[in-house]
Amino acid sequence: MAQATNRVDVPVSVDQSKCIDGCTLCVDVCPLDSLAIDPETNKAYMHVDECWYCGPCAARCPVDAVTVNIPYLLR
Amino acid sequence: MQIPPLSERREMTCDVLVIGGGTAGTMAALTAAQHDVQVLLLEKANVRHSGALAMGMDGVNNAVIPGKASPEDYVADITTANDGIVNQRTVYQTATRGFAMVQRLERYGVKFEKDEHNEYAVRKVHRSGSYVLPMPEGKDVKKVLYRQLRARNVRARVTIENRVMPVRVLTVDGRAVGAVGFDTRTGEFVTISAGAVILAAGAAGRLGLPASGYLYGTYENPTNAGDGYAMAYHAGAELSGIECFQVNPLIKDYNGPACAYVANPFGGYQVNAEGNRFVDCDYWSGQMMAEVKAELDSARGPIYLKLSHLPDATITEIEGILHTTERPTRGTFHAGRGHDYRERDIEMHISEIGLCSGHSASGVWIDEHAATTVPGLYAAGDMALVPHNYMIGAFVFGEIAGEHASVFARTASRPALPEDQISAAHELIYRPLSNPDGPPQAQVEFKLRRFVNDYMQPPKTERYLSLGLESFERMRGDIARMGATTPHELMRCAEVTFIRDCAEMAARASLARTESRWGLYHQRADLPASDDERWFCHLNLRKDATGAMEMLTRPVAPYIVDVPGFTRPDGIPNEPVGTELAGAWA
Amino acid sequence: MSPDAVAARILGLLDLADEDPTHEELEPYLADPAPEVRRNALGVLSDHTEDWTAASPVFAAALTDEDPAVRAAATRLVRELSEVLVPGEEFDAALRRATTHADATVRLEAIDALWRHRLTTVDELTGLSGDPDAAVRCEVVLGFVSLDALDALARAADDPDPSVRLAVARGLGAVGDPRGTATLTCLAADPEFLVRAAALTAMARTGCGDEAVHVAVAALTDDAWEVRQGAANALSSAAPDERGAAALVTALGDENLDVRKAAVKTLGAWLPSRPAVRSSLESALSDVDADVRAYARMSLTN
Repeated sequence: MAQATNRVDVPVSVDQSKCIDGCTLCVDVCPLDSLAIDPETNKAYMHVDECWYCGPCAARCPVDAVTVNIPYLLR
Repeated sequence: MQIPPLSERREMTCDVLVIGGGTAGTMAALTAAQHDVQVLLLEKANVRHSGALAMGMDGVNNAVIPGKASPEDYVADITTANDGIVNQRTVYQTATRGFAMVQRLERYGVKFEKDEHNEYAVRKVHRSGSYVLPMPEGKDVKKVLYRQLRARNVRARVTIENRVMPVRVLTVDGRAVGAVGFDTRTGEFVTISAGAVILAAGAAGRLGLPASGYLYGTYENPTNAGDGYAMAYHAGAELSGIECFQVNPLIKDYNGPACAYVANPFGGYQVNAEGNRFVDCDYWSGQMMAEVKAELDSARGPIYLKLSHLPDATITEIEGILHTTERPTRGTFHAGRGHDYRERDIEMHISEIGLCSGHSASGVWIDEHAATTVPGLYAAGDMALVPHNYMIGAFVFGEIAGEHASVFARTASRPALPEDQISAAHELIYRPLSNPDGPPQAQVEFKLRRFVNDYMQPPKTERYLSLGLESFERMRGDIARMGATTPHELMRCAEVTFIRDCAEMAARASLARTESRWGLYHQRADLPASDDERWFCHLNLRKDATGAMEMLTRPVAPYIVDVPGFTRPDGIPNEPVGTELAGAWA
Repeated sequence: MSPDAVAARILGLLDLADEDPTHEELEPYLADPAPEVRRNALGVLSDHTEDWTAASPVFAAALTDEDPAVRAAATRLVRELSEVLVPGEEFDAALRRATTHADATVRLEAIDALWRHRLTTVDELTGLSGDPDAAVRCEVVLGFVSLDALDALARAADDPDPSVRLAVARGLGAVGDPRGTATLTCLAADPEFLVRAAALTAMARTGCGDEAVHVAVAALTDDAWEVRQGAANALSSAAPDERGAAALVTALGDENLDVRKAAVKTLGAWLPSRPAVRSSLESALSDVDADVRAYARMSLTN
């Protein structure tokens, strides 16, 4: 069945030019399991808008590629 | 994904099963390992960054340090803050074992603030009680604990399973014998057979909907959806004080702690719009929240955390603490709006409701040994009823649960796991896969939690509570139709069932206690007076033999510590502390 | 090294981290030519080591790494790990080397570690007290406080930078020795109001003799509320005489809520020996500020 696809502004962004192909640290540590590896690029991205803006993803990234913003509704 | 057949499952066994790898759960696992049993630690996130301490904690609220405070002061203060309805034996454990816990954590590498003379820098934040001890490197608490869990001697005893989420505790003849759940990444069905089970799954922090409308913009870590409350209930355990909600004054919209206690020693404080401090209550309690709410609702609102009067250097120092620990994105939040503490005070509001014994007094009923009313089932941390137990209490009761569960597990039989309960849990977990076109979790959860706000947010009345209960019953239908297609979505769907269970418990307990008590926490607008004659007692609830929610009362146990300025309305005299409890402080 | 090669090294390090590596296994990464790798290796070592005697010198030595980001990571770790780091010849020597590094943050952190681990002396700290950076000199002051070095603190009270004099004022309070009052009395006349305020507040812990009372009473009319608050605090350690009581009663009408709060607390403590202040405390029960009301209530009911 066809589904509506509403675009959402997600709080976590990953600098694709810095993100290391093969590293999964941010995906591993996210308490809400909201990050995933894009199978096409092998880089991390936010796959669901479920975020406590807590920050381990950014703090643990070995190359400072992850930025945590405040979810739009709170911003 | 496809629904796996009931028989296709990963079967695990252990002596002590710990559910939740946060504050209490980690300490329970470490302690059980010291008692020479095999431990399985299940964490639906990753133990390294999970639970209330996911990103650390900037201080402890309830450290009783020799020379700074006495256990008797602490127990008396907590008794007063809870209108006398506490089992002092549980609170006494936190008071007397807290200091040894601080020292244990220091040996692991946790840094508590000390002055130039190596004395603990305990702060007096409220007018009564000197129990606040900052942790200047508190962002690393979980790192320290994780390092301990991975140490060679512990690793041999403790197996960690991240991203595995139990949904039910299994029981045989009324005793806890294991749990059932699934892997939230692969969807694999998992059963665990255990000698004893420790629930340490955190607060019911995703109950009310934040004013922002963002499902995960909660005060508590939103992974703490009341899983432990629901699992304890369905296992037949008693829960208590569920009507004593958690409500906190927070930074508006950001919905995180304002940390007045961080700003306090630097000269910051909370004021109304006229610039005056307004809280008359001397300690953190529902009475204090009632005063905050009254101020917000008055012509003197809104309220602020005031820092703008402080010198630039002091504000820089405060920012250094507030923007790095516990909720480091609060700096991002203020910067995003172009707000600077130097020019503008921080607007505060009052949070949505939650259930949490760490901050108020609603949780699974336990005794001073962390035992629930179900044999073999222990509980600790935010979900276990030890009033205002905070982080130190979570560690202390994690330790106690680890000790006692290990002893229980050593002689416990290992009956075959109950297939009927496993089958029911299988249905609970995978049902959304049969309705791929059913309403998605986010919409169902939003609606459910909006009803929580509409009908449960205090002040409460019988009419609103009854409408709430009706809504929560109706939501059973929505939940049954809820759809999902991935293991991740199954996790969120299972959480919605926990949230609904907690909402129903909150409504029924609030209806049953026909009086007002604990300030805003259980303020009944239709019954504004306290009724000590009938209600100087605990209100407990449990699942009865027919599966219905049953209410019962338990008397307040005899005190073991005098409470200056408070006379027990039932006149029951104190008991001696006894050698077991008294020993810890010596 | 190419970016890809660095990324590959980091990946190798992270894979190793999953297997709870030993110090020896991490050594090649700790000595990697790429600073990003060294920085991450320090983090991994801090996550996994069980041998703090061996690991401690590694963190201390990294304080003087050639790369600023590695040094920054090392300064954070030396502070974070202070409960588990183990002093020893190599560790102590690395800290001492860092006290003369060009990077002020490194010097500061090294001095902090030296006094927190009880590895330093008044003489060594005195040698470091001419540092060009004021924040480093503040750290030296904390070291003096840890050793109760009253004379050294008195010398530091002449520092040209107000932040150092502020640290001295606070530090003398922390030492709490009545012999510190003389320096505090000088600092109570400092041109910088925060130093005056801190000096007066410190007198609450060193004791407030006759001369200090005179200074404090005069300071109750200072232009800066912080100083008036400090003065009301100072008097809490003074003998409850007529002069002080009259000044504090006046301060109960101060426009600043924190001055009134400090005054009501001191007067509350004086109530048993000066019953005449009761009526003033009673009128504070209706102050617009809740803290002032509460401390008045507590003093009148106790």
